[in-house]
Amino acid sequence: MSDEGQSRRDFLKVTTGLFGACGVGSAAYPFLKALSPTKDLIAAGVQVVDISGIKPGEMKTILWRKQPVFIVHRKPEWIEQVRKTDVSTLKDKATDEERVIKPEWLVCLGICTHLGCIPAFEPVQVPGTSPAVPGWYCPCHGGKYDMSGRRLDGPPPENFHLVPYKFVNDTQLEIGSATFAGFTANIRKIKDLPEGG
Amino acid sequence: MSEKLRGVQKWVDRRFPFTAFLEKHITQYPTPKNLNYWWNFGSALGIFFTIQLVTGFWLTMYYKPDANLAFASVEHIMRDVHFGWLLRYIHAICPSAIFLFMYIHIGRGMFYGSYKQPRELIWWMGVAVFLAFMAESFMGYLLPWGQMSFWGATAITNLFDAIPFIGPSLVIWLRGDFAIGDSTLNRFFSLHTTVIPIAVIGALIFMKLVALHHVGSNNPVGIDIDKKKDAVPFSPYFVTKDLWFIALLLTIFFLFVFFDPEFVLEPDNSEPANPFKTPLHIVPEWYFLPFYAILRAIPHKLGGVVAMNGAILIVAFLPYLDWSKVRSARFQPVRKWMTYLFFANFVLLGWLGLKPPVGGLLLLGQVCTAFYFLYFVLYPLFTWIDRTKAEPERI
Repeated sequence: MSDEGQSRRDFLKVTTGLFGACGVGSAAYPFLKALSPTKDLIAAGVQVVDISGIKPGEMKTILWRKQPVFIVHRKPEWIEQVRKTDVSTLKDKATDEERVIKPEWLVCLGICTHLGCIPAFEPVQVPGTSPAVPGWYCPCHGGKYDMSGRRLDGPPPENFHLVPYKFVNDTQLEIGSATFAGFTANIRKIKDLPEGG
Repeated sequence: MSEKLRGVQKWVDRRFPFTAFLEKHITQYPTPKNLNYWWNFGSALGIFFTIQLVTGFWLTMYYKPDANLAFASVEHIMRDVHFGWLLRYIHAICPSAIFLFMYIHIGRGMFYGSYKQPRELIWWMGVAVFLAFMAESFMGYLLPWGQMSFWGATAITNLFDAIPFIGPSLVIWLRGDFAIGDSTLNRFFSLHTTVIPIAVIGALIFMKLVALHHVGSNNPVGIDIDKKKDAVPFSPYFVTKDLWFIALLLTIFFLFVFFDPEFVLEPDNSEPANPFKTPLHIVPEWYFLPFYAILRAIPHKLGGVVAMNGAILIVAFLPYLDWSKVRSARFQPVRKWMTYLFFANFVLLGWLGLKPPVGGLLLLGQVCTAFYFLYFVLYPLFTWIDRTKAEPERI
């Protein structure tokens, strides 16, 4: 076989291989995509919550996309406390202003960013804090969070994740969006939340 | 190949006969050089069966085998699961391709005498695979829990009612209930997704391939080949031929999947199972029609069931019904034309299965059924007396 024949054969082999790879790739895509959350689950990720019954100092936990969401009506002294925290002392740096739409309402995912347990609400004092800091204490491995849902101490690497929400009116809160799948990114600031949520 | 890869290959080969296996079964496997396109359907069946397995595994992830949830879960797959419509349409249309290819594959085996020694075991395993696919598709058809699912399963399980003495209790035992119900659905789901496809069909195909590679492929001329003079290695020659032909078949298949997915599906099955109402026009899937026509041609319950089952099982006796000295029908004019007639008769029976069995059509169905069996009964005679033409020495 001449050199030219050899290179033609190589060309055919490479082209066949590339076309084959494209074929396998496009055949595999529907199968992989079929494993991600179904369209009804994504669409069900929008719900309206009545917050009129939550008094200052109280928390309501609701299930959103099968995950607990904390809705906290914060007392003025809590707001004052989390806003005077020195952000540079935090591991996951964020100001309270960046994490809430209205100062008196904190809405976040109630999942410890360490290994996914639900932290306990401690409106008086998070165990082991002195001076006393109200917030959350995770019973699994001792993660501590303040009333802005920010990680203070313990193994959690991040603050509580935020979820898309908006105030329909003074008593109703809409949580979620029809497009936000919520399993791809850790939204840390209100301004990073997707539209329509 | 780089030195490093050669090292890995050596390491593996000392522990697992990887290279030896590839050489024996693919790169050095002697394949008769005169195989025509009728020989392509075996490998195509392998690919289409794999498609069924994979789409089936995926559908199992969302389907719910519960009489109250099954129908809605199929709708859920169609609407909510990403590409669920694609997975389900592939899985629902693929049996049509598999049965079409099986009929061609079996017809090829009959015409070229692939059932003759030393391939009798391959033939019988093939008949068993065919029966297993019939059971597999019948049970899978119940799972969407539509009207045709329910009444098809009712009618087919009632075939066992014709068996003397034990029939009625056998039917209830098969269903696990007094009519098709939740127990039936669950056991069909279990058999359809695990036992039959993997332990029966998969195992039989594997053994069939082991036996095939032990004796080698038959060929259009039907003579025993000289592995040096009459054969070429399976790879690259037949790998290339199989691949392009499979690509062609897949193209035609996906035309149906994308542009006419309802072509082989029954509209009545879009209505949930209703034990109070039988659909007005109930016919089996097209690939069962010839046998359905035989069942209806006999105006007797047990007789019809015996004829229908006999029509399938009689094919297994071909190795003993064939008294000729040659394999290929090419060298036996009478057998050749009788076999062509048999194929045409089979297609005609399929058409009759679509029609109501009344008047002239009933009579025609009975004539076709008679010819179907007569073909096998006369097989020893015309293979024995046929003036056999001389076979060539080499391909």
